[in-house]
Amino acid sequence: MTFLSTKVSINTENKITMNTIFIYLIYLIYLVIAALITLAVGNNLHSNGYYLILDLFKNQEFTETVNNLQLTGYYLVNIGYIATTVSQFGAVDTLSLAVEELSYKIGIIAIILGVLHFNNIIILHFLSRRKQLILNLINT
Amino acid sequence: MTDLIVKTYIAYLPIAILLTFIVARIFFKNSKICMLDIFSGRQEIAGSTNKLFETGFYLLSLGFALFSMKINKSQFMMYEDTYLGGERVPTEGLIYGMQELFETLSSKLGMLAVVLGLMVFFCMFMLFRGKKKSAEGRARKLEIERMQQI
Repeated sequence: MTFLSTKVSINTENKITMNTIFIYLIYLIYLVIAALITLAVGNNLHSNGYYLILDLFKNQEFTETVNNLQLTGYYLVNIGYIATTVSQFGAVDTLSLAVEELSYKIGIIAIILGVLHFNNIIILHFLSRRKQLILNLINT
Repeated sequence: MTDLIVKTYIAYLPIAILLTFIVARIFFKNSKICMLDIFSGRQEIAGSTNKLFETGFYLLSLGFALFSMKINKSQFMMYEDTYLGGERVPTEGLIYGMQELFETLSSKLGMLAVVLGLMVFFCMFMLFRGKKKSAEGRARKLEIERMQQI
């Protein structure tokens, strides 16, 4: 809402007010924090998930492929979510509103990532259990 | 009003982040041993699984800390409005003092502490489940070997 109104004011008055600069600054902070979280968490999961998948499939080439695919999917989900939520910012006129909006948005991103991450671990766990069951059947 | 709310945020954020980090450090320093037991002494996979759990723990608890940071303004308004003849009339005077700040802060931090405790118990549940499963798997393997020997 605020963003729209400021946009209109830029078009009519042809100048950038302090308010507009503040809003752009908030957007910039949001994008930078979101990008940092995405990159740090993605890198961490990519390097640590390798051993878990290797333990599951026992095949290095296949493990690398699966790991890279997972990283790609993770980035796609994350970037898509961040890009769609940039346009859904509420009013960020005052400092308290801006801090609330920023923390709310970043918190939602972190919670979604955490839920997806635990979901992934549980899926891998079930896959490895199924594989062990099959191996046991073959052995006996 | 806004100023006090911003002050509450400034007090809340470092305490919340510090609390999360302390809890995670203590928990994941001690869960390493349990992980080693689950993966029967294989250092690499135990360490990486521990790290994965740590990342998930941080994401969920910091996410909740940020998500629930917003102060409900009606909480502050309660002190502003008084009932006068069945009607709510805003009054001037004793509003938005340090008392409300501390009350709000403590309720937020208490909620965060409860959620952190739930997260820790969830992780402990996962660890003990993994331990049970790995023990079962090992027992089955031993049984199979014994059958093959006979």
